[in-house]
Amino acid sequence: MEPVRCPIQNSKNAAMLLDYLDRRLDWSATIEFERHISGCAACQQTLAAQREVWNALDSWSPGPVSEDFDRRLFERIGQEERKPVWTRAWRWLTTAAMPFHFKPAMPLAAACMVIVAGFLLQAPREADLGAELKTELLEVEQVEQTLGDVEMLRDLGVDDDAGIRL
Amino acid sequence: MAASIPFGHGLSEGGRQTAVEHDAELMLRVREGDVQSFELLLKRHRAPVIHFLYRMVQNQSVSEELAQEVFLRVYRSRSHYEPTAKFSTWIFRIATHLALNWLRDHRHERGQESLDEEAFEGVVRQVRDHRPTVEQSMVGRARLEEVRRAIEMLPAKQRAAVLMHKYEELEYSQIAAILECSESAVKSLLFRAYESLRSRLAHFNV
Repeated sequence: MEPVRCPIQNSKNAAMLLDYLDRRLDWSATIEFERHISGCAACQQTLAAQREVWNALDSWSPGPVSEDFDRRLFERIGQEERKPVWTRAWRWLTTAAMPFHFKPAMPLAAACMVIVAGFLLQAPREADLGAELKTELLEVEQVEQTLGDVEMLRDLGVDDDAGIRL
Repeated sequence: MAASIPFGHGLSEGGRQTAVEHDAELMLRVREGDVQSFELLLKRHRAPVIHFLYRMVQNQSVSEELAQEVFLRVYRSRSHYEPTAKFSTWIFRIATHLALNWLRDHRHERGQESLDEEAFEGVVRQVRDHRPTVEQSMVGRARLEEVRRAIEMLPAKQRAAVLMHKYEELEYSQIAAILECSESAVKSLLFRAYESLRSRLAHFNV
């Protein structure tokens, strides 16, 4: 197995110290790391300092939770349940659907809605115009074809209505 | 019993897995309209979430207010819940973002705040059992204040990473998912944070 590179010297291995203290290293890595520590004063010093930090952090325990925490929460839930559906839907859209308060998201969403609305308003008109244009082109084509046919019949000397030679 | 499963601390790997599956199961029941399952989830995650928020914002009433918002959001999202990630990852993700936003919005006020008396509650409560002398009590308060200040001086993301790593015992992968970064970035965040704490609390002897 490759010898452990000193975590103090090598930022890539930096978390190894924490993993070791936290007992997150596997058995073979622990053995290898302990072999390294035994000969590395810097690691020994850092480990001792880290233990002190953790002891210090352990001394900070937060105060008790308010006794009426649950009651207040269920009151708020009850209030929300009584609100009209559209209010809840809006609330869901602005909080639950975007739980991280991504501030630019709202103007961005508004801008997108304007673009979509514009597109929807514009789209049917474009479709109608397209259909009208297509009909007109078809009519012109039909007239041209009819005139062409009449001309051809004239050339052949056939009466359009009676079908007799002129 | 569902409610008797403790959160994170002291659980074996198997126990942790069972708790994780149980959380997801409870949340799926909440999705079906079972309010009692929500109460169980609240009972299990209430303290860790409030304690995490308290250590983040260092104010008891704000931390409880933010925690209320966390659980409200969980409840509101029940109909869309899919157990794609661990429930604890999800709930701490919401809590972390609320705390980071609060810190961002109140960063100017925080600088001018006087010492938060509530911050001392922990040590006072701890030493009260041993009937401390006035001197011991004062030393305890001073030490706790040092710890609190050292944590407060960390950049917000480093602070969140340390609190989730040290107190909530979350895995690197969970912290990475919560902070939306890679695992190696989390390790680097933690190493830098602990490096700062080591230098600030070097003289700290318990």
